[in-house]
Amino acid sequence: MGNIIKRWMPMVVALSTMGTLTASAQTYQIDPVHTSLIFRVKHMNTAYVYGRFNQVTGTIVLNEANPARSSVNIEVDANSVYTANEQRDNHLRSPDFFNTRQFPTIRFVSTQVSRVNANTVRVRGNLTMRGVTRPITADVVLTGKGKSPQGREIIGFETTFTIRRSEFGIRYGLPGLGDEVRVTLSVEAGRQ
Amino acid sequence: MNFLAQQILWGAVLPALIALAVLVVFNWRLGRGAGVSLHWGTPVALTAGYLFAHWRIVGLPLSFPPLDSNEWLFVMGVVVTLWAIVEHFTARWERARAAARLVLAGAVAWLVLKPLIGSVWQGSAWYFWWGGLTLGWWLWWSLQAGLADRLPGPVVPLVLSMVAGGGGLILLWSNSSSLSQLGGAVAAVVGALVPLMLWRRDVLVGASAIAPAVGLLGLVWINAIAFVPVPAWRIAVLAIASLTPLLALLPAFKRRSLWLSVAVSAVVTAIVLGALMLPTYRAYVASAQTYGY
Repeated sequence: MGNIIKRWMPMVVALSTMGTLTASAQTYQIDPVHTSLIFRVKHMNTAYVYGRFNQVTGTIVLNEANPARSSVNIEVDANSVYTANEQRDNHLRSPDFFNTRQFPTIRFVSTQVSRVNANTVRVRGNLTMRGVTRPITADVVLTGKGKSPQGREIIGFETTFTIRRSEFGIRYGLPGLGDEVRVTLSVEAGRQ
Repeated sequence: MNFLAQQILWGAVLPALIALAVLVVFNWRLGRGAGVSLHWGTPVALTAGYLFAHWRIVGLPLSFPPLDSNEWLFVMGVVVTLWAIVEHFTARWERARAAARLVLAGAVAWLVLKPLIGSVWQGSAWYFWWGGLTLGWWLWWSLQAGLADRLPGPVVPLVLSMVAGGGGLILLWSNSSSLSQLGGAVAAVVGALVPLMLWRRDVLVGASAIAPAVGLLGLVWINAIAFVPVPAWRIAVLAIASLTPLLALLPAFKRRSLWLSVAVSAVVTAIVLGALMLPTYRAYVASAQTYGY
C-alpha cells in the first residue's frame, strides 16, 4: 500500500497543480451587442471617414496568473459593415473592397500574449482578411470588470491599431482613398 | 491630376495607346488578299494594354493561384493571349477550336467560382450557375469568333467596345468600380482595333484577335454576376447587344456598303445599351445621391 502511495503521489500532486492552473484560465464569450469594432480611413487625402462592423463574435481565454496562456479568437461578419450610407456599404461589400461573397469572414487568431503592465497585454496574432493572412500586434487595455444585469461576470477590453489595407489585397482607390486604416476594437465579453 | 482623371488615364487612355502602338508594330506589314486576318501578335497588343490597366487599377496578383476573383482576370489575360495565338494558327479546325474553347471557359469559370461552393450557391445551385455561365460565355465567345472570322472592317471591334464601355458604366452604377474600370479597359483596348480596321478595311479581324476581348470581358461579367452581384439578365442583354454585327450578314446589308452595316449595328447597339443603362442609372441616382465614392 505504502509503495502504491509513493508511486502515485507525484502524479496526484501534478494533476492537482494542473487543475489549479486550468481553473485560473477563464473563457469569455464576446457579446456582439456591447462590442464595437470601428475603423477610420482618409477620403481623398482630406477627412477621416468612420465605419463599423456590427457583427463581432469570438472567445477570449484569459489566464491572469500567466497571460502567456491566454488567447483570443475573433470573427467579424464582413457583410455587417456599416458606414451610415447604404450605397457605400454595398460598395464596401463588393470586390472593390471586402469581396464578401468570396470572403464573408474577417478572422483574428492570437499567437502570443504577453503582459505589458497591470492593465495592458500585448497580443500578437494573425489577421485574415480577404483571404490574406498577416501578423499584427496590438496593445490591449483592460477597461473594466463587472457583472451584467443578469449577474454574469463580464470583462472589457479596448485596443487601437493600424493596418495597411493594401497588404490584404484591398487596393482599390489608392492613393485617393487612404491605405492606412485605424481600427479600434472595444470588447465586452461574458464568462462562460 | 484629380482622382477621376488619373483613373481614366490609367484605365483607358494609356491602355488604348499601348494596344494601338503594339497593334501597329505587328500589323504594319500585313499582307493583302482574300481571307487575310490580323497578325497573330494582335492579341498580344490587346492584352498588353489590358494588363497595364489591371496593374494600375487593382494591382498585380498577390499570389498564384490568385486568392481573389478580380486577380483571376490578370491570369486570364495571359492565358487567353496564349490561347488566341493557338487559335490563329489553327483557324481551319473550327470545330476543334470551339470544343477547346468550351473546355477553357469551363475550367476558368470553375477556378473563379469555386470559392462560392456551399457559401453563396448550395449544392446543385452551384452546378447550375457554373454550367449556365460556362455555356453562356462559350456560346457568346463562339458567336463573336464567327463574326470576327467573317466580317471585314471595324464593325465587330466597334460594337464590342461600345458594349464593354456601356457594361462598364452599368457595373459602376452597381457598386463595382474595379470591375467597371476593367470592363472599360477592355473597351479601350478593343477600341484600338477600330482605327486599324478603318485603315485595313480589306482584312478580317479574326477570332484570334478578338479572343482577349471576349475572354476578358466574359470573365469580368461572370465576376460581376457572381461576386457583386449584378443581375444575370442585364449581362445577358449586354451580350445580345454585342451581336448586332450579325445584321451585316443579312442579304439586305451584304449588297450595300460596309458603312451602312457599321452604322446600323452601332445605332441598334446604342439603343439597346441606352435602354439598359437608363433604368440602372436612375436606380443608382435614387439610392446614392449622397455617395460619390
